[in-house]
Amino acid sequence: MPKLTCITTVYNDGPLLFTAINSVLGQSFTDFEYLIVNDGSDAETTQLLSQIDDPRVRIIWQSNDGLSSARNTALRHAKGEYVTFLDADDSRPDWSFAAIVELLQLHNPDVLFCRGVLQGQRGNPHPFFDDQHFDKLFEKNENGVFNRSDANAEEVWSLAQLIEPQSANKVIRTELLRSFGIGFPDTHFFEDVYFHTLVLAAAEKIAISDFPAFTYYKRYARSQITSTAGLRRYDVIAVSRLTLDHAARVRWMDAPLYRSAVFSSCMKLIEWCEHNVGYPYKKQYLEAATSMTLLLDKTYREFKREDLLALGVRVPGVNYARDMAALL
Amino acid sequence: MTVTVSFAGYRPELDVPPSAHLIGDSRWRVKAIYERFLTSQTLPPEGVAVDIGAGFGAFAVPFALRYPQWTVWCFEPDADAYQALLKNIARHKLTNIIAKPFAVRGLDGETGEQLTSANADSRTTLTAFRRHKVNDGYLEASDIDDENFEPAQIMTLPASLLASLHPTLVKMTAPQAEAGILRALAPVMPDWLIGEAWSDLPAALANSIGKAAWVPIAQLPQHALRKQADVAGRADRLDVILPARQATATRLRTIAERVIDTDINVIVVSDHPEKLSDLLDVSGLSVVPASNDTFATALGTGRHRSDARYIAMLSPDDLPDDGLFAALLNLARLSAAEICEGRSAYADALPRELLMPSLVERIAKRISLKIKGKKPDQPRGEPTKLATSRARLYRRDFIDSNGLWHPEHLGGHGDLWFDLLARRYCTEIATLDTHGLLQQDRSPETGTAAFRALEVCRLVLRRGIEEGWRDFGPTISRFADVILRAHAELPEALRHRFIEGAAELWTCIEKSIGRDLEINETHYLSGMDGFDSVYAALKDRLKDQGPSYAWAWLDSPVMHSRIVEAEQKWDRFSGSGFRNPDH
Repeated sequence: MPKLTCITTVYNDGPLLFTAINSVLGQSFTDFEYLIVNDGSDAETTQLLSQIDDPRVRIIWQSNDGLSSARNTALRHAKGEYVTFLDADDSRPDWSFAAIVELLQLHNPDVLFCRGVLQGQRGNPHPFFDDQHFDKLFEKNENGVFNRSDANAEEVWSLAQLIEPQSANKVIRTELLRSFGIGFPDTHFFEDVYFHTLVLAAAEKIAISDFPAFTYYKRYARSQITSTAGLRRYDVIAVSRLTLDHAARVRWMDAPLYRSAVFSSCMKLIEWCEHNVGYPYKKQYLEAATSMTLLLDKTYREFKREDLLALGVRVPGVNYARDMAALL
Repeated sequence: MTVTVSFAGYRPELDVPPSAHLIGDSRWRVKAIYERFLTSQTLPPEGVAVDIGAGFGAFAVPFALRYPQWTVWCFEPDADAYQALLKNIARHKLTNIIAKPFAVRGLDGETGEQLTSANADSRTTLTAFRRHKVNDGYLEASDIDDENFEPAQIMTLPASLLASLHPTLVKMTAPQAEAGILRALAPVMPDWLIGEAWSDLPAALANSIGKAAWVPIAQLPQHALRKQADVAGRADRLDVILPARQATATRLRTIAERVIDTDINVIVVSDHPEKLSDLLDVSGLSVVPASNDTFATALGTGRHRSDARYIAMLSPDDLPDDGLFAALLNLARLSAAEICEGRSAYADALPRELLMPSLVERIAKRISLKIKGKKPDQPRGEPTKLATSRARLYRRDFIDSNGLWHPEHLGGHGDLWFDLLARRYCTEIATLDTHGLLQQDRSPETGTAAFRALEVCRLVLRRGIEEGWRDFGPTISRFADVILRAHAELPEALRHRFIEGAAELWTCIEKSIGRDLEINETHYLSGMDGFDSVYAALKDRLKDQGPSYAWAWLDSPVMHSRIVEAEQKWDRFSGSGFRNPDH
């Protein structure tokens, strides 16, 4: 069994996909398998994938079914003790897996969360959006290891919930995913908040890294117009419903601060998409978001805005979340 | 005293010199520059790193731990920092670091000799530096008097000797010595260059770096000596598109010779390329045939032919300063801004004698130069004389991904459409004060063509609504500018029809995004005689219709110059039965 499985899904990425592939195959740590799911890409991308010749790579072809489905396919095939992800147009530094595995061996966590780097369209590298959350967590334990039985677990899990729900920032014990049946919500984008929430809720022990383990690129390579203004934004409402409904059924997530953090992390995305959806869709978008909220468990009404802010990190969308919670 | 430094998963404990400045700066650079940048890179398992200005080893020690198969050469001239470096190498039992107590700078030194640990000492010479009086340990490769510094003589290794090490990666913190070091390394540039710079570096120095460079310039947070892979595979070059229109080969040659430079080519687009055979001897210039003789087609044709990372668009009426585009390219490479812009000056016409550079400079000083501000959307002032500037360079990926081009039907107003959107989408226009361009004001298109200004505004409004722009305020302010300017340049006979169109556009804006429409803008338009009454009548007619984003799709014949022109023609035929709504 390899120590790690890394998963990349590919859909018409063209030469850009080598950003991820070259960075994974250039890792100094070598005991991993690399699953690449070709989600029904065009001929150019499929041909590029056929050029890869490395025994650690397994390419899985599936009929086009979306990002979530492709990741679920890969999870079914994963053989590694831990699993992680990397989008085709993102990258990892060559030390990423080596440093990750050193921490996994040191702490044996269910989930490891990693810092990241954001490279903007102008190329300047910045800390990822959630760098502050890692600083706060290290203040709570300088070794960066936390158990659900710790006295401050609710605070820690709330902070971890507010970490960006990015797929490359976490390394998860494969057995945890299988035991709890955790995957991605088929047919939907904005899938990461669902996965992030469930993985964190299932974990008994989490760890965090002080080193950045991935670079997320904001690029001009793809049209911003279609990606920011269209109906795809509605997916966030559906995924929030799936996330919040599931969380409401998990007993240990009854803790008010933690539950508020889950609610807030969904509402942050809903507000962000509301700002970015085209005006002809906005009214309907708001109606859908409101209706979704009205269908939620009533316990979300007890929204701990002040307690969330007292965690000492930025909580984008906290006022939006407060207003939506008041609808219940 | 010791501190912990974190890099790439290692957190070694390090001895430090007494200088708090050196400790703080070194630790900051490791996290904020080196680790952050290297997170996007894939280094090979083996290599040679050269650390110039290694300090106490804040970078070199954890790097040597993370890359045990690399050899790391460290050079550090400050005695305290060097002693701490030696202790740290011993503390972590590192055998892959070679440390020397020298500064490095570009000197006329020997080349072709293999540098070794044994012969390095004999290759040094004393050179003049200056040491900061407060920030102990901070040395600059300069002997210029400054009250904050004191002179120092430092043992220095010529940077050219480093070439024999064939470094894979160079890390450079060598204040004021950066350019000299890079020029000396030019024959064997490393694959990776990282560091921080305290001097004004020509961006082209990064061109020959093998893979990637990231050297931010202190005090200029957005500027860096940088090199990154272009995923679109475009050449690191500027192509300047120059539609020939009716210009002579002599005029085109004059402009091209002011533009062409290292990494800067000119693409002349002409529907009669056979008339421009005289230009074929101009190195860096190509002539491309166009199938349509409009400005928009010429720009589009040139753009399709270009595979450069940067693009600029000129008119044959323009007269750029010598070196304008070289300076813009340098600024673009350092800043990575989506748009870089020099000064623009308006000239009613460019007489032949203006082609003399000295006269250009004199006239540029005499006439009122309008220097554009840094903000993409400026607060509204008086209507600007220059609708757009051609003293500009654009990142090609920026204009491509935002769907920016010159729509054919907008004619000369395509510039305006392009400018309104480009300003909207970009995060910063990097400006250059040293060079400019004299530009003939082509844009007041006379007659019905001026109605295109209304169409431009409507199209921009529609795009903003489709894309969900958060704030229309600055854009609407520019609409008001555009409308007033177009109105002022119309013949009297067309003004009333234009005002009808302007009132209809304003109604569409109000009913679609009224929340962004400040009363001031409407008052501003009141400067057009008759606007208020037409606007009030239109509002009254539509008073029972509610707001909707769909209003932005409500087209009007007045917004189409061709249709207004047709109305004029039909009106002349009394027997046609055409009833002009004006009458």
